[in-house]
Amino acid sequence: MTPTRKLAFFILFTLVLSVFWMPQVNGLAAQDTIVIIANKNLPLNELTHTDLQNIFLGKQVHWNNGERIEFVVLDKSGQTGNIHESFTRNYLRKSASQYLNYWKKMVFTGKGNPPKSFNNENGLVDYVGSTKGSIGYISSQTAQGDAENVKIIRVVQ
Amino acid sequence: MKRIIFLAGFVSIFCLGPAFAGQVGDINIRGFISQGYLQTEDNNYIQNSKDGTFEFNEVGINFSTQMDELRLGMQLFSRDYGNIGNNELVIDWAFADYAFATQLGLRVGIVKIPYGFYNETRYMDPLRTSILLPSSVYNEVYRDAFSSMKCAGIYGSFLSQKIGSLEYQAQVGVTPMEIDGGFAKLMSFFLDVEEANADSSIAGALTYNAPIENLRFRVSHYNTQFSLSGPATPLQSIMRGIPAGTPIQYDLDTTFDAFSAEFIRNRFRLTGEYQLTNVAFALAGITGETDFDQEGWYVEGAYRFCDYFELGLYYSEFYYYKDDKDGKEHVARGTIAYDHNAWQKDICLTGRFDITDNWIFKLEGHKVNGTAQIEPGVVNENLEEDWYMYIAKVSYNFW
Repeated sequence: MTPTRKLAFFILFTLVLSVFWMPQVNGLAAQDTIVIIANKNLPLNELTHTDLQNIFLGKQVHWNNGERIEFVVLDKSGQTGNIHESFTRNYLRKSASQYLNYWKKMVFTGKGNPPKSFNNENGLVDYVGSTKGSIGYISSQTAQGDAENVKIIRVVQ
Repeated sequence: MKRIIFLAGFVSIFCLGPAFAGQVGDINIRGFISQGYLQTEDNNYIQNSKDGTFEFNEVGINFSTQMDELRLGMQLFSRDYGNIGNNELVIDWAFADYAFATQLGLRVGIVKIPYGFYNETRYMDPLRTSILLPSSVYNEVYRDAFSSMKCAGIYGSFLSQKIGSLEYQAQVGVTPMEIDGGFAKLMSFFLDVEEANADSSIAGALTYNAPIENLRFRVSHYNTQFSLSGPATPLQSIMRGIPAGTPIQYDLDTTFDAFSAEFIRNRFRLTGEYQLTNVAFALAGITGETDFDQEGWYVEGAYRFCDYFELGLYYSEFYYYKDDKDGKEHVARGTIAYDHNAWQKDICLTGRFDITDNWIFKLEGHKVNGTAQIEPGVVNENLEEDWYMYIAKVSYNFW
């Protein structure tokens, strides 16, 4: 075996071995910690899981009344990271990293712009309340507070 | 000069990129850059790869803006891959996109070719597990025919809760061909290509997302017709009595069909793609059309152990002549020198480290049997049937 091949096998062996010392991905967060909110003027009160997937993957671009959908998300990192991860896993069936990669693919092929993101829930609530056709999500704890101009959307199967 | 352009791109993206990432006024600016090191053992895969080469990089920056239903954008791109690219700056895509409805949108301009799961993003290293895509389906030899089309196209989605969703893309236009591209090298036995003229191209992809979570299938079709012209090689005088140096023209009609499937379950992804290629060519005004089929497929599994580490493994097979997989017939005819020129089988293991959302580092090893996809023109004194390839690559993106 040549020195190059020995080195390559050593690196690959170390790489494979190293995974056993790595922390595992966190388990799924509880689905009931997430609440879907929308601008209060939106003429609907419930959506299906599939509707949410199509909206947050940018596949469905208009509401049934023809209004453009403005969907917003929380930041993947920082204090909103857990809420975002819980939303993407439970409602989009993707990890936050897979969701990020999906939008990178859209951006670098020119097929879409990623959703506006917020580093705190209050900022997202204010935006949804003041923007026509908008939809987002927050934690159930935040949803306990008073929020004008937004309504909670029920998610059905 | 090309090096200076690459260096300027490198400096711009690293120093200015993060500052301008996101929006400047109404314009979104995003970019990526990657630098790899590639070393092969026993055979050169790209120029000088047996000695190890850093001629393996990509840099791109894009600008886009959205005005209600209309989106405008363009991406500038440069790459080096051995003798390919040499960091020339090209327009990767530039188009206007108008979404009439979820079911119908229109794109006009230079648009990436929708083919297989990865063709549109084949130069974007962070969007996949492996460094090199399986060459059985994403053949670097034909890269010039697969980049982008100057075209008009439609796209859309039909969404259904019960039976899943169907997405389509269809494009009609032309694919600019290069005089030093893969097809030109393929035909270099017959003529010294001095001119390449695109005739017409059509491309389309139909994707079905099953109601089962994260299961999707795609069928892609791509046809491109073009001509290559230049003086005849000495081989023409032996084959057809055409004196070497006589101006001749070949008309080519190539068709690619791919069938793709992917299943993702939590941290595990399984992907498989099959490709059938038909290459037809005729010596204008002298011979009728001759054609041959090529075949390739791969299966890839990837597992994400944690946020920052993913391990991928694929097996890929490619046959230059679908009807002569062991190459014996073409060796007898003298079309190829070794039987192993007729196939390439590749086992690849990749480790991907997501250091941050922007920085990614990958290590990859290949054990290869066969030499069918070694770049034409790369010098190898003695081609070995079995050979190895090791690659390391770091990439950065801002958006």
